[in-house]
Amino acid sequence: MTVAISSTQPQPKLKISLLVPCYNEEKSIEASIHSCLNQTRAFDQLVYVDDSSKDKTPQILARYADRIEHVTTPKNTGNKSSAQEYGLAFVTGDIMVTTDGDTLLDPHFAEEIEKSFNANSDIVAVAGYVRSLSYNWLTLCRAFEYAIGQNIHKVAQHYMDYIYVMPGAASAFRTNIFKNNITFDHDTITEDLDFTYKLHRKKFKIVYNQRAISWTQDPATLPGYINQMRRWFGGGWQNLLKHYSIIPTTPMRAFELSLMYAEGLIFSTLLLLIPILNWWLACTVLLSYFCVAFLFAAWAAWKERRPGLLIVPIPYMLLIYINAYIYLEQFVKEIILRRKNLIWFKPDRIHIPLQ
Amino acid sequence: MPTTPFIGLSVLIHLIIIGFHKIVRFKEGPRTPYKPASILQLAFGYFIIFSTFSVILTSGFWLLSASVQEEHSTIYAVERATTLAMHELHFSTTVASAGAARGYGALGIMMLVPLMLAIPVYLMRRHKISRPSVTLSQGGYSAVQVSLLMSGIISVVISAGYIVLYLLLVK
Repeated sequence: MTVAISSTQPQPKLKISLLVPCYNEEKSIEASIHSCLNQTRAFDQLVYVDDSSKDKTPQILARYADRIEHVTTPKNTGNKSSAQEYGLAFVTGDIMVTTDGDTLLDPHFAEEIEKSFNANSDIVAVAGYVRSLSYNWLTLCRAFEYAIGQNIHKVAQHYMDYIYVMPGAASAFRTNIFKNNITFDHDTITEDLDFTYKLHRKKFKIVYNQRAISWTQDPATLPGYINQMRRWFGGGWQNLLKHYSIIPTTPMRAFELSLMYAEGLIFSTLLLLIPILNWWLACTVLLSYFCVAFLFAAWAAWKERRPGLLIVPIPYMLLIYINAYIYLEQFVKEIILRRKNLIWFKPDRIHIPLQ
Repeated sequence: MPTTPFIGLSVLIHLIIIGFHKIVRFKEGPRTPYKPASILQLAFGYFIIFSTFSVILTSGFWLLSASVQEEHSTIYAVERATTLAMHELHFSTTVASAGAARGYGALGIMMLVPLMLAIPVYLMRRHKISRPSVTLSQGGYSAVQVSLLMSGIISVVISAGYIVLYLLLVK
């Protein structure tokens, strides 16, 4: 089951630019730059936007001045989308790839992106495949969630012609269409989801290429994990509220969004409610769920070539309760109480050695 | 960014969609310029949202009713109220209580549904039968295509669930 794009006809060479916003990325930025420079199909332009970092990020970026364009915001903007907006003015390529300062790109990333755009001139955006760098049990759990989300949900979404979200760590857009149609509103905490809704609103074609792979750093501590989930789920609700008017405009969007949000809402409630109503049933359901999760983990371990994923179902039983609680918490905050949280969460970085 | 908080019913449904695609290839039609959705399209969209919520809600209700009907239930009053409410709605209490009590086991067995789709895929590949293609309208499917797809998905899930419940009741 692979969603890969193939192009047999010769195409005019596209100019591909890379846009990387970064803030205090001294532990990861050098490895990230190396991965972006070591591509089988070189990027034509690499723009790194330093959001007035306070650590050694500017010095590291300066060391690569002959191969990258290093721009700095006049003052710290406080969020990723503002830094992206600032850097967008410097992007001159036909295609703009966006990724993060803590993300490593697979050597074939740019080549796969080019292949996708060459396959069909209607394609406006390409979503890549994100993998989690391995550190501990938490990042393994995240790798498991990515594997399920990207090998099942996103593949089906690709077939249905409705990609739910363009991942911030691995996305590519036609620059002129992006510049003319996407506005940086800074009114949600997940700008990648906001961009995706905006592209769908205009009925632009978005595809998924599983071979355009990036490796990203996810939180390795429980507080970091909780903060990230709060941002993602909170951002999901913010965007749903912001773009609710386009949900029923196409059948597939209506189906996909109502399925995901109904499931999240109803089953999160049940997950927390059932142990109170019937502890024995809760134990039995959890045991059944563990068996199902183990089957999926075994499949993910084979698919991702990561045997460590086999142990994921054990901590995953704890994480589903945390996820369910945060999902409902963010629903109450964002939808019922309308307390919009726009504070950008910056997780603690871990040093990434040079490959 | 995970789409849902955990592995749930949506994974099963997405697996079924992938299975359908392997049998009947969805082919995209020509894209037309952007124009606002018509009243009919909006009505159809709202109908789909309502249907999807209903299906998920029913699944959730099964689990909830199971939690208040078993002997370990801590809220007996809720159990009585639910049973009475279902009786009032002419919902088969036998099926509801027996099925719901063991229904969570059925959920696991329903995971086999995508495997059922693998059989025709295997046969088609073995006998080199090419997939018929369905041309999609711009930006999604036409109403007819979506109706077919959704009714197919829902009927497969519901009928598999009923078969499992029936087998449990016979035992």
